[in-house]
Amino acid sequence: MKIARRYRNKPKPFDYSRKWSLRTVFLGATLFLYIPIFVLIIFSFNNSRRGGNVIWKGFTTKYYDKAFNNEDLMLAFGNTLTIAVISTLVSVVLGTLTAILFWRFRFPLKPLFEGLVSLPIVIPEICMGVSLAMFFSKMGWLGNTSDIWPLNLINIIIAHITFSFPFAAMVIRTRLQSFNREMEEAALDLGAGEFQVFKDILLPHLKPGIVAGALLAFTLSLDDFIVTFFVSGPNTVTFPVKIYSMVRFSVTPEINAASTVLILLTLLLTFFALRLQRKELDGSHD
Amino acid sequence: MTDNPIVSIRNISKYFGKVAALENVSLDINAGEIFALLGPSGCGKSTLLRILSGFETPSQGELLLDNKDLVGLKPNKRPINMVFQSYAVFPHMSVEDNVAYGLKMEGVAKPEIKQRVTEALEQVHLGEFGQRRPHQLSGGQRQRVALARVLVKKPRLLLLDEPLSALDAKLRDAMRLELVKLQESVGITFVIVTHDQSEAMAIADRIAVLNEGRLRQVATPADLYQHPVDAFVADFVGKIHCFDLSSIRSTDELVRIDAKGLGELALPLSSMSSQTILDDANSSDFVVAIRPEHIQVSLSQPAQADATLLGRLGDIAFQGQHSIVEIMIDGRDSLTAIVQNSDAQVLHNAGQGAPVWNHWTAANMLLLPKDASNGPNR
Repeated sequence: MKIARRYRNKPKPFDYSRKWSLRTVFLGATLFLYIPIFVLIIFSFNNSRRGGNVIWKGFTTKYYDKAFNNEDLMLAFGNTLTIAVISTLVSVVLGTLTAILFWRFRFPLKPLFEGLVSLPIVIPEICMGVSLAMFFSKMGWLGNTSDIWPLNLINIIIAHITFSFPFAAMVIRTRLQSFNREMEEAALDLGAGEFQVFKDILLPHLKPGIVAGALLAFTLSLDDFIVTFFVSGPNTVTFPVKIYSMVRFSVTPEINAASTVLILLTLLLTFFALRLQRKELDGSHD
Repeated sequence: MTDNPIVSIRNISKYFGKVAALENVSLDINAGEIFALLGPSGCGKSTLLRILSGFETPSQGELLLDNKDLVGLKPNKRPINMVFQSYAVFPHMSVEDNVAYGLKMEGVAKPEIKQRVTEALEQVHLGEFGQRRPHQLSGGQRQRVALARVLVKKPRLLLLDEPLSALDAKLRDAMRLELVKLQESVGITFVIVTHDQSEAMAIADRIAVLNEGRLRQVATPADLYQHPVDAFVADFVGKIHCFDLSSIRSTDELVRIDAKGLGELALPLSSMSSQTILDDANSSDFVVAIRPEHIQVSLSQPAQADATLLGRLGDIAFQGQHSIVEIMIDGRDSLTAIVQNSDAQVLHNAGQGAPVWNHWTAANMLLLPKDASNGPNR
């Protein structure tokens, strides 16, 4: 009986929808957030020459063809993906190590270091962009550093790592809080070495945090405009920067189409990341 | 009991900063026994266990396993394994992989691992659970996984940190018996840390009682109960009532005492925990004590009794095979006595507040130093 009552009182996922007032708020908020995106997607199929045109002129997919055949746009898209993938990988490794460092060790001036690491989270992006641009120009890295892919993107990659690894470190550190130190001792006790403990015990525990951190770093890098704008040269244009320059020229459904592809890509990625995370979390409530 | 120490702990001290967690502890653990480290929380028993497992290094002293020095040897290099209080079963591995982990680290060949894992899981009655994940198991089953995981390594010494504290009462009783049976069948020496005296009494061959970082007594459960070295140990291993003394004098056959509230008593020498000649000078260092099962309660004044104490009847708690009676005494803490149910019925009919006589024979009393670790006769 007791269990049944508790079960009944426990709010279920969609319980709030029983109250019409809450339902209205929910609906309003959803519409407010998603209508612009839906409009963007719908009008990528609009058979009109101007994307800003809100008059429906018939269905077409020709702007997708056009976007995919726009070499500059595709190059920018490729650059963005390259930067995002590399900066995510580096951010996650750096973030994991930083998180473990702050969790495991005590050393002088630790609070100061912790503050410094999380500074990029709070610092205005414009300041970061300017400072990085100054740094790279002093180093002579602004503009073309190399013709070899992906070294030509190195300054953008470095900039992206700078602002995304603190986020990864933060997420991974939160996950570390729930780690049972006895687990580590148990592995040591059973004969494992320090590295085996890290590989067999700590890393599997951190996996959901690492996936979340990677997702965060990836999306941050994917749509970053301000910092990238400051540090990119004329030949290293990323997708957001390219879109910006196209919009300044004229808004065409081609931009809508390209954006839709990007949205789809992020959605797909998020879906897989969440699935991976759920699978991991299922096995780890101890 | 044969004197065959597998582990020798010699003068071990451990300081955390200036705080002493262990002070000059020396004891031997015999091969094949279940040895319990018993004490209240913060007494240093867990620190001692962590020194044995290698997670803490003693500040001073020697630790010998099979006459070889262990100090400085890392936990993963010791033939000692531990069952942790939280069990620390690896959540992302199947039960089988959990049990196999220690053998993999040793570099045992795969077919042998498989065979030994199956064996170990059979031993803890988890034969069919090999493919399960830890989150699909109950707390008791997870503990069995933790047990199998260390048994499979066939350690010289197996450490268990509060092994039964996380289980519910019924499972705890069953698991006590099972641990003893398991130990008998594998023959590995067990060291169990616990704060629960009844658990230690039920499982252990010998018990070491610790308090405030010091070893108080090492003895078999029966010895500990019947011949505690001091009032702390006597009280920790079971309920006991203590009476302060105002005078004390020992002769060749008897100790004559004057206990506050009881008057003059003559005790046989066997009730003493030490053989030192005593006089009034150290009467404040001693107490005389009686256990609840030796107290008799009657509604009329007993014709013949060594010690009597008048009181009023308090609550009577029915316990199944016997009842526990509370008796209020003027000017001191209440007494509890264990009485037969038939007698309890008579007392019950008399009603709460009825005057009762508590009496017992002097031979059942214990003359104990208040604190043997500080006293002159350690």
